[in-house]
Amino acid sequence: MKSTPVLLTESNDLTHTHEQSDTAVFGFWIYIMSDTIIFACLFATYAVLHNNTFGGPGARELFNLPFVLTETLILLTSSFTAGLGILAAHRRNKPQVLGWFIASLVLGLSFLALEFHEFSALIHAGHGPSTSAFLSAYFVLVGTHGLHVAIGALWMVLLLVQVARKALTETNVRRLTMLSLFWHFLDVIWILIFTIVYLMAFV
Amino acid sequence: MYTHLPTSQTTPMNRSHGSITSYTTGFIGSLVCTLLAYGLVVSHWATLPIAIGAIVLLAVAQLGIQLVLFLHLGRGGDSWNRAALVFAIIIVSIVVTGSLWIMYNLSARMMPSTAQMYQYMQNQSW
Repeated sequence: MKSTPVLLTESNDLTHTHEQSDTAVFGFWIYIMSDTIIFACLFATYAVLHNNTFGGPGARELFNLPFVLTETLILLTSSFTAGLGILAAHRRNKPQVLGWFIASLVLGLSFLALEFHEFSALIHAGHGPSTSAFLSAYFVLVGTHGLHVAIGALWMVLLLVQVARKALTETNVRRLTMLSLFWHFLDVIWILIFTIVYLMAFV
Repeated sequence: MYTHLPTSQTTPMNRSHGSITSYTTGFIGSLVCTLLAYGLVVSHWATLPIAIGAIVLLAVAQLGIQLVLFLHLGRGGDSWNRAALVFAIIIVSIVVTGSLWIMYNLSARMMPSTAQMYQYMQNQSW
């Protein structure tokens, strides 16, 4: 008789934290949607300015399509491993969570290394962001995405340290859910960059 | 008492967080879309308007695949997530089509080509 009310309040507590968790994830979703609007503005800027090369070389002369395809495949795989990581988190399987998210992190960092190489090659060849309106729009759009990936990678490192040192608590699983949401979102944005900035230039 | 607790907790989770099948399907689908679009552009297989239409279509397909299978939208319950998405899509389309529309018109009116300029000067000289 006495244990029943205790269990009831426990279950109420559980559903309560669950509702809180859902609200927090929804709040993060609202953030992602506003970030989408930022990217929409940058895409619109690029679409308007992509022909204003100021007499310099255009997208077709500057970009290397196989290189960008490599970046795309790396980021896509990274998004996939983050998804497998979140499935492991819901099974509360800590070694698998760490394994899949470390895979995502390594792939994300290699994506950043490739992008850094691409940017520095362009700047060293004299095609920096101040060369033309086209290159300004390009560097801001692709650079903002790269900055997001870098922040996501930093977040991943901090969260993985926390998961490794402590347990897969409800809070940490919620944080991992948000992180994977963010990571998938960055892959979605990259598909648009790949199509609009790179593929369109070579059609 | 205890037996109903885990089920009430895991049922909504399984529904909204996908499965290994959904992630693998999404991954393979995205891979196919990316490689098809890349192959289409590299091979110069299609003419210009068809190629642009095809790669836009492939990008939209991949967007749909990832939104449903990676971000778990479009499956009942989470209607507020979808409401926020629809709102964002409306703002995004206003920003993008509005910018392109206005700036295309502006540049068409502001900067006549050299040939047009010459034509204009010819007409003016009486």
